[in-house]
Amino acid sequence: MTELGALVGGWWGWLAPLAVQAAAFAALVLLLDRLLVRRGWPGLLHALWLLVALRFVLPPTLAAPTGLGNVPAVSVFALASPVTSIVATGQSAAPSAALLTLCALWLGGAVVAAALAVRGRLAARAAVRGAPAPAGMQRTAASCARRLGLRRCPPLVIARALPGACVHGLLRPVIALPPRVARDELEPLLLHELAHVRRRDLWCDAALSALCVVFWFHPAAWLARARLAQLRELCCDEVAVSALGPRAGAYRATLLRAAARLVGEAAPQPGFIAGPSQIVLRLRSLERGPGRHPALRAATTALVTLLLAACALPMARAASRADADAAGAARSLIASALDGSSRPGCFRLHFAAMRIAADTSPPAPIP
Amino acid sequence: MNRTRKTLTAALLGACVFLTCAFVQDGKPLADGMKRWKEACTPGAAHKDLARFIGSWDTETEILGMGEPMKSKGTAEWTWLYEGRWIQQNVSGEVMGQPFQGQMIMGYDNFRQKYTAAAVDTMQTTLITSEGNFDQSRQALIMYGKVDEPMTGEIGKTFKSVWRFDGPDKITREVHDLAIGETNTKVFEVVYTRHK
Repeated sequence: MTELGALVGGWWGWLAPLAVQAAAFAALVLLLDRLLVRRGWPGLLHALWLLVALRFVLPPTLAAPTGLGNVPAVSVFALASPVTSIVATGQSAAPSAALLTLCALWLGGAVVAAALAVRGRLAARAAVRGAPAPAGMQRTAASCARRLGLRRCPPLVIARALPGACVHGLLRPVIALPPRVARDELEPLLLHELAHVRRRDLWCDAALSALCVVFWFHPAAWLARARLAQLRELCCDEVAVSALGPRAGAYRATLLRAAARLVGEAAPQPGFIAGPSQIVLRLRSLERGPGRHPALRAATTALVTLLLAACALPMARAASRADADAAGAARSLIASALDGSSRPGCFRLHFAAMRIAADTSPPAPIP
Repeated sequence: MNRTRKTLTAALLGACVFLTCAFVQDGKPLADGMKRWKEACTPGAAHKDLARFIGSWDTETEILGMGEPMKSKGTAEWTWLYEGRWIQQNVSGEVMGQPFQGQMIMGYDNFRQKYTAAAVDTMQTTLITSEGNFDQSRQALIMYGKVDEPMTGEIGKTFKSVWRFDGPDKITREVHDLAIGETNTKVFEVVYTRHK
């Protein structure tokens, strides 16, 4: 029972502050997304939403001197968030019934979410099965891959049941094309799918799937996944249009035809096949055209992302210099007492142990 | 006949006097015992001295001996318990970055003629007891107790707790770990400032 109590207490002590911090961070990014909807570009917004996903996997104890966790008004999102103590028994031997129920609910939800994710992946895998594409198409694909700087070109298949082109497979990606692809459509389609491969979007999506399994209850996890799925399509559109150069108009025509094919399709959309409504968004984004200064855009994206990561990702209160000194002193005090080189006494050892415990585990909630 | 009756009456009276005296002699220890018992149970002047603690206080704790002194703030509430026999402290705050709550019960043992205290808190599972008396000036209550240290296996190390009354609205508690040595024994200090 003690082990279960410690396990459940640790689970809650980790998950609850993390969920609160991720919600706060996602709200901030959502606000920025709305503010930047006209002036922002897909790469920037994609980077911001990736940070939301990152917030879910970073420890809730993450602190930095630049972090918002040092602002008293924001410290509510810090480690000892109020949520932690609502139901928690923390390190007590027997977990409360409410906490056990919550843990069981979370576990059940995660199992269901995992099962659904696996089913989705299997369905997608089945949908992209098909015959190898003709040699001419393979050559075009290899040429497109070279233009995008890819060392290897994934194999091409023609999948009968597929309404649009997509790429599937983590370790060995396969580009699947629908049966009827017009000659002028092929290159734009391939450039778009190869852009996904170059950007490693499949890995990103797999990681986001795993995130949604663990945080199945958290709307911000699903929102981040959905928004990232939209944004990476826009990013790949930009890559494809840039690679097509003066023939960028053909890309818009390809998108329109893809939308026409998709209207009325009830089949599952595996991988990266965008729905018709999303294609409208993509067309609108393309209308705005690529930015004039890609280097400036890249630098701005890096700067904004770095700034947000430095300020808003670390939500726990950073240790001051005095805190760090005290933690160091506490460690050496215990070490010297244990090796017998000093006799600091019961009280100081006790306080030193408390100081170290405060750094390594969330404060035990008072029952 | 008259003589016999008189003798019997005198003997009877004598027996009554003897028995009464014997009874009175037997009852004296009981009454003395009862008196002592009552004195031991009834709060007295020493208990009235504890009134100095009663009230709401802000606390500032300073932990010493690990680099720079580590300061933290909290609150304490001292209230009477059981018709003036005991006082009880409820304290809360933060110690070494951890939330902290504690309780202490203090009183005066009339029989042993010592102040006694027992404390429990959220930092440990040990009941910490101490006992002692006021100094000559009656401005400092000096108590001694024992503590253990599970990390090193030390048991029953003596500490000294000094409650110093710096006026009606300020109490300073110093705790000295006497097992450390003769100098630099102060391990923490709590300054109580009365709520206005």
